Amino acid sequence: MLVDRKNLRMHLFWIIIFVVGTAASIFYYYHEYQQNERTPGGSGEVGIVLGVLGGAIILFEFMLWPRRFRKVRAWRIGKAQAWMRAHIWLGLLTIPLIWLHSDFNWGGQLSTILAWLYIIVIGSGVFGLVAQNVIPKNLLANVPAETIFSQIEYVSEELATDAEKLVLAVCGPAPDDSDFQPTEAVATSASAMRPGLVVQGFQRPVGNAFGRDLRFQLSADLAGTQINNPEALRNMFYTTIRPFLSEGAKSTSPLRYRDRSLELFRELRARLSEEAFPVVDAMESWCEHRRQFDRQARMHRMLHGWLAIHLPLSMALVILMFVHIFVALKYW
Amino acid sequence: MADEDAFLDEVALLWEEEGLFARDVDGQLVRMEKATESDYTMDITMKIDGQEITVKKARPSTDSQGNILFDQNGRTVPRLTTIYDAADELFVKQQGGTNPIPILCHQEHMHPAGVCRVCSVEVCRMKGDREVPGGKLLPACHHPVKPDMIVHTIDSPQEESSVRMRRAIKVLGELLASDHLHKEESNGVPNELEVLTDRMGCETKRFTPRERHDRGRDNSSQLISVDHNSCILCNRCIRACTEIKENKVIGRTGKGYTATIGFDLNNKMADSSCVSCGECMVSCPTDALTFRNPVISDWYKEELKDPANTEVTVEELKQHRLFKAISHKWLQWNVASVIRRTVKKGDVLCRLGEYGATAFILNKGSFGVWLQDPYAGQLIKTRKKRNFLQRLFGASPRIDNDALGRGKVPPGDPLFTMTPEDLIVGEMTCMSDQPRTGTIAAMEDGEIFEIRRNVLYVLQRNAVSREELDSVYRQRALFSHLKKISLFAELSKGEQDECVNYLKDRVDLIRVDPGQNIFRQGEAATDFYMVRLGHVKVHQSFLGQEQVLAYLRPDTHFGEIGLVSNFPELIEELQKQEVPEYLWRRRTASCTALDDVELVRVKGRDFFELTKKFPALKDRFIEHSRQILSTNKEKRKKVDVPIDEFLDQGLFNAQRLLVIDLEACTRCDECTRACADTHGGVTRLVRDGLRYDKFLVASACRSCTDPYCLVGCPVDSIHRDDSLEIIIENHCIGCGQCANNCPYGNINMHGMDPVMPTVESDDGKNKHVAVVQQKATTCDLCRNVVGEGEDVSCVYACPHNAAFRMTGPALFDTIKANAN
Repeated sequence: MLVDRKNLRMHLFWIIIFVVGTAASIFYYYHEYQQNERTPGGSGEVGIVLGVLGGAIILFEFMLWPRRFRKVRAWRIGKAQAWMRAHIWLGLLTIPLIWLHSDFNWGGQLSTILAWLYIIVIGSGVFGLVAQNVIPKNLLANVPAETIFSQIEYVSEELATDAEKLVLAVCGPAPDDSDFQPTEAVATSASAMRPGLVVQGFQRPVGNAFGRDLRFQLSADLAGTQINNPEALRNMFYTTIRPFLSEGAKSTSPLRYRDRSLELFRELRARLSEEAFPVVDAMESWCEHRRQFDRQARMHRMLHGWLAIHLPLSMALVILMFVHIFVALKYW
Repeated sequence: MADEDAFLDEVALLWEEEGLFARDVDGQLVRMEKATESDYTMDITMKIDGQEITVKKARPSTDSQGNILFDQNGRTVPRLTTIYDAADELFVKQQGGTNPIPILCHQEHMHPAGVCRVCSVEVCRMKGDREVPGGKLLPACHHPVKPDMIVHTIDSPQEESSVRMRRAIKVLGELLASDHLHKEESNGVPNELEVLTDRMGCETKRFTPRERHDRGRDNSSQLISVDHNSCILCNRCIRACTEIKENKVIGRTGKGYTATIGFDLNNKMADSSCVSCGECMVSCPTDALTFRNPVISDWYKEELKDPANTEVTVEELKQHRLFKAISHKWLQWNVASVIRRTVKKGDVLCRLGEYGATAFILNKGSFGVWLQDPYAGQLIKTRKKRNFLQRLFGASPRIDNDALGRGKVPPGDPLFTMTPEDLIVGEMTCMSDQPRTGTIAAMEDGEIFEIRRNVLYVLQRNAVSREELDSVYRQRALFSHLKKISLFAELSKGEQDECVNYLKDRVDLIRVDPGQNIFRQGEAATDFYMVRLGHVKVHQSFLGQEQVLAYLRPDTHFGEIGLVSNFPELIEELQKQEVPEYLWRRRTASCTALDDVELVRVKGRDFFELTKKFPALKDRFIEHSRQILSTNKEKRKKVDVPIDEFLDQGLFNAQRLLVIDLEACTRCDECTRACADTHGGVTRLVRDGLRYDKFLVASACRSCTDPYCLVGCPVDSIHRDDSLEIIIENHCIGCGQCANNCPYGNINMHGMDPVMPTVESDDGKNKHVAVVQQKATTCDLCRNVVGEGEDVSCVYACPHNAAFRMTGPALFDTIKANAN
């Protein structure tokens, strides 16, 4: 969730709660400290009050998790963003509460484990918040070809198939003894030689515009291009371009790097006549798309990876918190 | 003299024969001469059954709904007027009128095929004072009219001709009936072939039926049964499938006695690419294609729960003049599209501002119309206040049902009343897909037929009904627009009425197709326009570059700058804004329709008269022109938001876009999941689509102001009820028309649980055949979960304040505000 100047107003109530809560808890702690001339401790009045408050907030924080379940998601129990705002700022408010509750001590083994769990959960949450404020803007600026994360492999395969159709249309069928025969997807595709449009891309028309990137639409004129050295194009396509389009960063292709890609396509152009340049441009552009998809996948993992730590450890934290309460009450 | 007669005979023979430069009509067997645009102006005077008529030699080609077709250059496509057209014009002057020329393979909204020859007529010519019949009978459905033609039909007062015609057509009917009319298998309702044989007094037993070669049945479809033995191969189904619906599934197969219609490569109907739209079945004049069950919608079932509503039989409908032209079979299939409502004094039929999918045919009583209604829009005004916690957690404000004015008649007298003579009310919403322009309530006890959009749609296929509906629509549209337009807001009530009275007989309603130019920059300014429906793009060519200046929404006006530019008050401004003098009294920009636009046009002389009569209006026009001129100059200097992209993406048309702020969106897909969870596991949105600035316009229904998806649903399963959302009812037959119509790809066809119908296999045993069934789905703004105006699930579930529902113009304003 964005926490910036533009959205400050939206967060204002919770910021006030956070600031007032922090100030009140510090004042309460300091007041007790002044009166008794010693730190109040976790089991004193202040410690218990702050601990109960902190624990209650942690439980509330945990309530965000069931909202991810199918049935609960549709419940009308407040907008998810309102819950999220409360989650962020009340979560941050637990820092002074729990810290003061701990009386700046790690305590025994259980409390130490609990404290570390808490630190990791809060740390991962803060990381997530920072990631949510930075990465989406980065994606918007640097990955214009972004698609739905779960569709990356599918879309990439579509790209590879489209590219292969274009190569087949431009270079003609490979000789029988050639190592570079069309893949099954292209060989069985009815639209491989469809007149009018060789490559349509995966984006559909919206209004009068067609997709986000018109480079996906190549006319049949391009397919009719006569090139002087089809073997060079076919060779590069099947050995380097297609594996990269299909597998992306998982492949060992030099096309993973923009500089190397530029160089390779420059070399390819040098071996072909000028008429083939639009075809090479299209290939280069698709490779750039594939690189963007890989970048998107990396960013996506960063954007959501922290949840793999945050969620299970939150659960562990809540369980251990109850153990901590039980132990504290038993031995009080 | 004898030579001259011989010459004339030869010419006359040529009239009867196919022309030298004849050509096929859309691949059909008939051949017609090509018409030219000059034929539009050529008058042809002829006689049919002794009555004289003058028609134009050619008329523009139209589609099945009577819309004029244009070629790639935007010009109309002329077609020759046929004898049947002329007879229609002469004899069918009002609903239910009968054309004396019988037809079987032809239908008014189809191209002629000329395969049955039932429409044959006798064409005579004058030899001296004597009428000489032609050598052969000619098919009226595609034979063009010629000057001084004398046509005799079966109803001709000239007995000799009449008897000749009846005898000929009777034989045709008897031959067809002996092989293809199986009365014992019929459902009791006469089909068109039977009606023809009855009309001609055919004796079916006169010809022994040909030894029956069983051409088989096909019962594989869930919707339509095919009995090839009843098929007369009239090609109506083929034309319905190919020309009207453009599905191109049905063709002919086999030869001689085994010739039948076939689906795709002669597959079973269920195995073919047939989308089950039913167009072939309602077009079939025999029992060869029949429906299995009538379409019963949830609306019908719900309405019938009210004791004031009752069902209407096909026979009752056929008594009404509006329904006389609709085929019996269509009415039977869609009988649930009409209900009879008994209304009591004070019953509200429809409310101003609400959407609706029905129109009302007035049978008894009188009905008041209010164009102002304080209860309209009460839904928005009457929301309960939220407490602190509800506001904190973003709970949507609930509607206070007690405070709603539902069912209340607006105060005061109605603006006017309507009686059964006015035929129909509430049709404007169905025809234009716009909210109701008035509230209608019963002034006394009465009775109406409430009809759905598909009934209106099929009514428009008939020229007379179409003309009548169109004239009613134009008259009411102009009146309600003039009564409500904000242009006159500054005038006093008395002046407003005076203004409306002055204009009402002087304005025209003009329809403009998407992309069509209304006027071009530099043209002489002649008229003033008010936008009633749709959107208009204003663009200007400046230093060789085309720039979009603005787009105009309904209730705006344009074209006044060119008209008032000679007013001394504006000349100074024109000079200041560097408008060259040759452009004064001319258009300073071009205007193009962005979607289907309806304009109210005021001619130049009436406009000047108006400004003379109402000086306040003159001042307003001058001030408005001054503002536009100065804004245009600013816009030329600085381009802040790409308006052309906004228009290209069709965003101007959107009323509930799902917009995702890509700076805030973490791509968590909670919106998609929430949508799927709300709709039984099938998401109605795809988090992908075009981008506009930093926003992603997701693929979810936009609730367009001009929803193309609603056009042409054969069973009216897609429509708007009282509110904005598009609803697809359960009786969707899965034809995919709406999905094809949506220009934004926001309607998806989803496969349903496969049903296994039983069909008879070649060896006579029953076997199960899987039938692919699908239904259309689209975003319904979570109407079953939330009330109107509340946050829909996708927005509600977004944890990052990244998903919004807004109108296209609001999105534009947001981006503009961010840019500044």
